[in-house]
Amino acid sequence: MGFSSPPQNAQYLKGVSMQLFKNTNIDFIGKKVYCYGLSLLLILAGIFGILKVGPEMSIEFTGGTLLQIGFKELPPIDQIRSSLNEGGFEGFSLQTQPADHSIIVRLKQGQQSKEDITARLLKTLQSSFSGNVKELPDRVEFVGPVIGKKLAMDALIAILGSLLVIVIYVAIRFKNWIWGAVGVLALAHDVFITFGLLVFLHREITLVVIAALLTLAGYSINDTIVIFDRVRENIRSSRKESLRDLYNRSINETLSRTLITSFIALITSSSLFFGGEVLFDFAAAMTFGILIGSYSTIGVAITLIHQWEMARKA
Amino acid sequence: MNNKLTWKTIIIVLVVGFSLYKLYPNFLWYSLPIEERQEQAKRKNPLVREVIPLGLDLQGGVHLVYQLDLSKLPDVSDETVHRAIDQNMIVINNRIDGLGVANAFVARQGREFIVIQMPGVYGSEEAKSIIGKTALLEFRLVKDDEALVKILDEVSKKGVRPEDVVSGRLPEEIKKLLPAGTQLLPQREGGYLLVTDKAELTGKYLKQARVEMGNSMTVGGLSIGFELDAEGATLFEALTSAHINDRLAIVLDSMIQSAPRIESRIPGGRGQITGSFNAQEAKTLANILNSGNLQAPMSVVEERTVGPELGEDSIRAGAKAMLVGFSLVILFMVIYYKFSGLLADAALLLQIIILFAIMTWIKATMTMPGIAGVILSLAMSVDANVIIMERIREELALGKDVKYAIEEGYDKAFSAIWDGNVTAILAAAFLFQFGTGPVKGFGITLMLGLAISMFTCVFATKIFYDVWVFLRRPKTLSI
Repeated sequence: MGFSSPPQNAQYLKGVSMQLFKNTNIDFIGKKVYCYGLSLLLILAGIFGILKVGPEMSIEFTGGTLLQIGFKELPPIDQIRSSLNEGGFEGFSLQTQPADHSIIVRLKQGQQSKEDITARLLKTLQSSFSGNVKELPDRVEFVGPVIGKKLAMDALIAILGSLLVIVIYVAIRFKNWIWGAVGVLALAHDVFITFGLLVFLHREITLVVIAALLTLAGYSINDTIVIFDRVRENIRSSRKESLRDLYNRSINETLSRTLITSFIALITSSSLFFGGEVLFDFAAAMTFGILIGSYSTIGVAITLIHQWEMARKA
Repeated sequence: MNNKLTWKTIIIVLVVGFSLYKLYPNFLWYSLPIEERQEQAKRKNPLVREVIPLGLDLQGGVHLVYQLDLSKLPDVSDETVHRAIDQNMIVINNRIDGLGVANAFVARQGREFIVIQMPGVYGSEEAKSIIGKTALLEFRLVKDDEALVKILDEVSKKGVRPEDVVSGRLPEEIKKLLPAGTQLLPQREGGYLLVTDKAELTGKYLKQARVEMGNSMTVGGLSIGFELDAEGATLFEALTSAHINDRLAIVLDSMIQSAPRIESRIPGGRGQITGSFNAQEAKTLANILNSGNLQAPMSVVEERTVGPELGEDSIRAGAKAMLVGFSLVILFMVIYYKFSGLLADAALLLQIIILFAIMTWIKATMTMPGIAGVILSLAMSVDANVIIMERIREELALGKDVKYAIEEGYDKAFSAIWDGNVTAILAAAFLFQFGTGPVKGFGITLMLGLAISMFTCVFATKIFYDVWVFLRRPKTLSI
């Protein structure tokens, strides 16, 4: 961040404004090779992650075991959570039942039998809350997925439909289908790479992560459209300059806005890292996604359109 | 001030006033501790209806376990039971959607159980009555037989209740009186009729049911219009042409809804279920019919109150983190854009107030994905403010005076904000309309949040500036 003295003729500006990235003149289009290379690398890493590691879907998608465990006196839920974490349990959901001092734990079955899981869980809890835990669980049952195939399909169809809506609207507003296609391509690029990273890091794909990816998709398309808009405006004012200069100028003119907005979004998303473990994945997906999103807005979207325009002229 | 500006200011004041009025019950309600809220909800405190309902993930609700009635299945092989459970789950999901309950949890449990969790304890009675309905729609012919008089005599003498008749637990004396091939069924309006013991046609062929205004019996009443598919229509036509002047009983879950006389052959497979429905009953009935029928009836074997799915501890931590993040954003805007940043902050607060007021007003459930939608709409609205202020700075740098720079800045920023927002609103509307569960919850808050953000960022902040310029005639702008 730097303070800059007000421009020569800005006599109506009060005092000194804090300014970032003013009057830059970077040749973004010229950095094409690096940008494509980086994107390709990230996409390949994503594909590798998904094929090699495979997305680990949470219990909402897979189903597992439901255990109901009674206590004499219900301990605070965060203590139960950390006790299970220490016991090596991952990807479980905890619900309290205050009326009868019990909890519902839903865990993924994995390779173990029902009896093994139950024994392990009770042992873990008894070591943390000795004497407080009931000897036997009230209930141990297999529980199916909440988001079964049909619900997942419905959601997927809705998401694909909304992408189509975006392509159509942007294409109409910018009078050329390539803008709509590139806008959605940039969005898909951001969401896919973020998803790939989460898979690569063995993070579980929960409903909270899905919500984060949807949020990222919305952020990404908005980010891209603002630069598109500046290009549209500059085309109208048609100075005598090459298409490449015009595109570069548009990215540079909106650079301060893009980076400030990203910075503010990053403030928010990184605060969520302190929001407990349930929000941790949301924060991780958003923080990484915003970085990728800003990069693709600046370095990929307009470059792709320029590439296409050049190819059409050739 | 000129007229236009005065009006705009009045609009803003009215909107804020209305929003605060709508929000007030939320403050009262959510400042209570959670146990107290559950207690009050059970006692049907009217305040419950005045606040934003929270989803299962954020506030918990009622946990029901249903058991499938295996005796009603053709066989009890694993495969049959599994299929029946799957079919029932689809139907239950449809019914819960029809109730307008957001993010319910429906899953198979064990071999023959279905576990359902619904947010909020309030209204679980109504939900239970709807979820458990088999919704078996049948058309049966009414048998006008003199035996009916005798049977009804016996029924009143023995004190037989309608539910006994439905379950077929009739005393032997009455069973003997039934003519061959008939069955006694209760009517919704009271009384009994003799009908054929086999259905002539079932709801299997039902294409769609909907609430219709008016019916042939009463003026201004409501009825349920139904439409059968092609195959059903052919069968229905054959049935009606063969039985002109007979009465056709429309039976739902062994209860005769109505028994109109067949006046003539009915082609096209359309008909009406008439009766003295109120709006709620009619809507519920149509919803049940549309969601298909359960493969086998179910009964509740367990009911309890559960805490939120995400856990109270995570929710507390998450709320704190969001508050910190939001405060940092507010602070950054003031540091970076000074006075103008303060205006942008005011617009953000205004957006939150209006959004939550509307959520309260339309009773949209707030879930975790819903909060994600709110966060995105706020981020995009900060972005809109950044775009405007960067533009005003550009105009000032070109040497334009305060009033003119503001006008130009808004004018030039508008198209970017409009396109960014409309694109996202259209996508969100699509998600809300066609999505399920989490996707739907995200769609509604995003759509509302962005629509409001257009109002607060573009319309409201501009009025702040205009009033300020009008009153103070500033020589310079702090931005």
